[in-house]
Amino acid sequence: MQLYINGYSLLGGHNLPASLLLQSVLNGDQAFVQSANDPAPTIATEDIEECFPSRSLRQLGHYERATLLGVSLALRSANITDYADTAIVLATGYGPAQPTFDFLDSILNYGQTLSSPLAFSHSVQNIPAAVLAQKLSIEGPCHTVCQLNHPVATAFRLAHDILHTGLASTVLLAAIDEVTAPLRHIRQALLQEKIDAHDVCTASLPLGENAAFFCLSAQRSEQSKALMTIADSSEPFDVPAFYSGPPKYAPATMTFGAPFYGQNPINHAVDCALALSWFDRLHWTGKDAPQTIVCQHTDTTGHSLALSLRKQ
Amino acid sequence: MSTRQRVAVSGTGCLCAAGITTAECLSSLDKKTAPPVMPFLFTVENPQPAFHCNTEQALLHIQQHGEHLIASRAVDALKGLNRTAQLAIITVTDALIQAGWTIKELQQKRVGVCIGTSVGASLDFFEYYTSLQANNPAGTEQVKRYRISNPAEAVARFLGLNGPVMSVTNACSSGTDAIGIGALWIKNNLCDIVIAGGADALSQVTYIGFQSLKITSSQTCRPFDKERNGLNLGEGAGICILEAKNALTQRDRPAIGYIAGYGTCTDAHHLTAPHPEARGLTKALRMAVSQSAVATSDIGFINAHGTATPTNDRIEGFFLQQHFPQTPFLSTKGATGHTLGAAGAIEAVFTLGHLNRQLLPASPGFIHKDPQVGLEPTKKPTPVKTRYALSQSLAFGGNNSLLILQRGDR
Repeated sequence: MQLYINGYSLLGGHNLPASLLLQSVLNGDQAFVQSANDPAPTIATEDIEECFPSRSLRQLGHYERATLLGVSLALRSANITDYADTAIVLATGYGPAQPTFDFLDSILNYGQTLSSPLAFSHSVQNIPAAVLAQKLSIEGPCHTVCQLNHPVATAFRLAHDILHTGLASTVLLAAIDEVTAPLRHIRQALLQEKIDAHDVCTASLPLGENAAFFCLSAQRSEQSKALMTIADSSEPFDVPAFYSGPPKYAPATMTFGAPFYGQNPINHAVDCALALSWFDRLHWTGKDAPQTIVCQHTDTTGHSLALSLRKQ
Repeated sequence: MSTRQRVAVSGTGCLCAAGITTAECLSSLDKKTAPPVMPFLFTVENPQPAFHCNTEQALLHIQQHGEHLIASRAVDALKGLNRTAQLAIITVTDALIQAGWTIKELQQKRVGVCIGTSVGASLDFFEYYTSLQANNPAGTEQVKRYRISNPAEAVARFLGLNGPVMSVTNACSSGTDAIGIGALWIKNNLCDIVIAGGADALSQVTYIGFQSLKITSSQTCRPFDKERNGLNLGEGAGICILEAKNALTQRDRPAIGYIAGYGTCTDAHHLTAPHPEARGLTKALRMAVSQSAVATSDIGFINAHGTATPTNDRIEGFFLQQHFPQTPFLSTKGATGHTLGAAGAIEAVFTLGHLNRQLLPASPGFIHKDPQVGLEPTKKPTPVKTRYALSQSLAFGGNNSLLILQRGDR
């Protein structure tokens, strides 16, 4: 698998700029570490109204607004203004969770026959990707990958297949999961049953509402910031490496960001965005920027997939 | 798709209201199929008919016809899973039996799993949520079941596979997309074998949701019919075992069919209604044709999405008039209901079956031509003489996906 990353953006992570979040993660800055019981800060989406008229954002929920904002920022980062021949791939662990619970609320509050069709339609997993397509007038392939294990690597794989088969020349890849009150309750319930639910959270880590977005191509361009390939996750890495997944599998030699930005099924993408931020000379971190960074994710079964990013 | 690597289908499985195997489903379509019944898996305030599967008979079938290890392992694998994952595992087992693969053989190959679903990946724990909102949280069984019931992951776990695993959640085009994506994995030599298809079970929450949209019917649905007034929901699973043609030849087995082309585009028009001029579907057709060596004039028949909603069937009619005005077409949702994430996969399996028999059944539920549609689907068994067919799916969010399928070797 080989993909060029031409633009990116990062949302969540305490709503810090990527450079500051990276700095805190690399330096082990405890000031940003939250305890497991602290409510996870939600992604700030106010800036979306600088990109789209507020009227056009009516009926869009938080998840959709964050997705639209993140993609818009990634497109700006890649200096892309022409969306012809573009595909969308969205990776998520839970999908649009709050609209799902909003629909359930409408059933409980008003009865089945008066339940909300708007909430139901927005709870369908592929609607956030469809919102992107509609607001950006993108008419290419539009896919949503929804799974708790390896959603990000799987989505990058799909992006690669789309690009290298010629189904599109650019892929916008969005990785996002939101934190909701019911999921926090579920986490507590599972913890009380002593279940190692890393995707919900373990006792030592907070939940995090995070999202990362990428503009991808098969060919290198002037905008290319990194080349992504699949790394052999069975070998120790002699380059800087980030880890996401259950704490019990986290190697001591890798940077584990979840204590800083919270556990989330799509953290693999957050680490990729942090790696790109590290490459960006404008975001000096006090440490020499490496030429290659590996981002490894391990799922609940202990199966690992690693993505290698080489600076361009 | 380029012609580098032909993607063959070595086995299929199909479980829906029409039957528990591919052969039984095709046979049912030739006869008058059973109508939908009121839902009995859950209670609803305003019941409308839906199409159910007979999972008990399907399980019995794989126990009787499968090698001991795969059958017994399938029975064990079903425990603790939700119904969608169970439908997937049962149907995958049957497809692997048809393809002649044992579990031990599979585990020595690079095997990927790509399953389309909608209900199967949704946060479907209504009872738990209800108890939570009543400040009286119930046990977490529903939640724990959800966490292990992603159908693609459940299939990979059941078979002990380490290849790529993808859960495609593109609403009603998920099954078509999963097969198209799985075919890319074969073409790009990522996998030796791909288990591709779709699965979705009837679910109380989804049922209520579709009723809230006012697009369901209280009678048996009638795709493309002048009197059609909405869809019936259904459940099921459709699975294709994909392999490179060369590998299948080395196994000395014939291909049931081929995935000759795949196209997918979004309308970027409306979140729940298709583009009035089928813009995305037309682009997807062009994409599939350009990816394959097949011209539209080579297409001998079309499996339409045909949900029996006034809007969908009218838009598809417009598309067919534009591109295939003389080509026979049908919708099978009058016999299966709309199985959501499974629909595209079930219908791909049906299409391969029609290709191999060179015979189309009558389109279940259709009686009278609708002038607004302008065309009518098959009204009686219709012989065809063709190597290629199209199977298309239109989804929420404006997704349009289609497969160009090629007749098999036998």
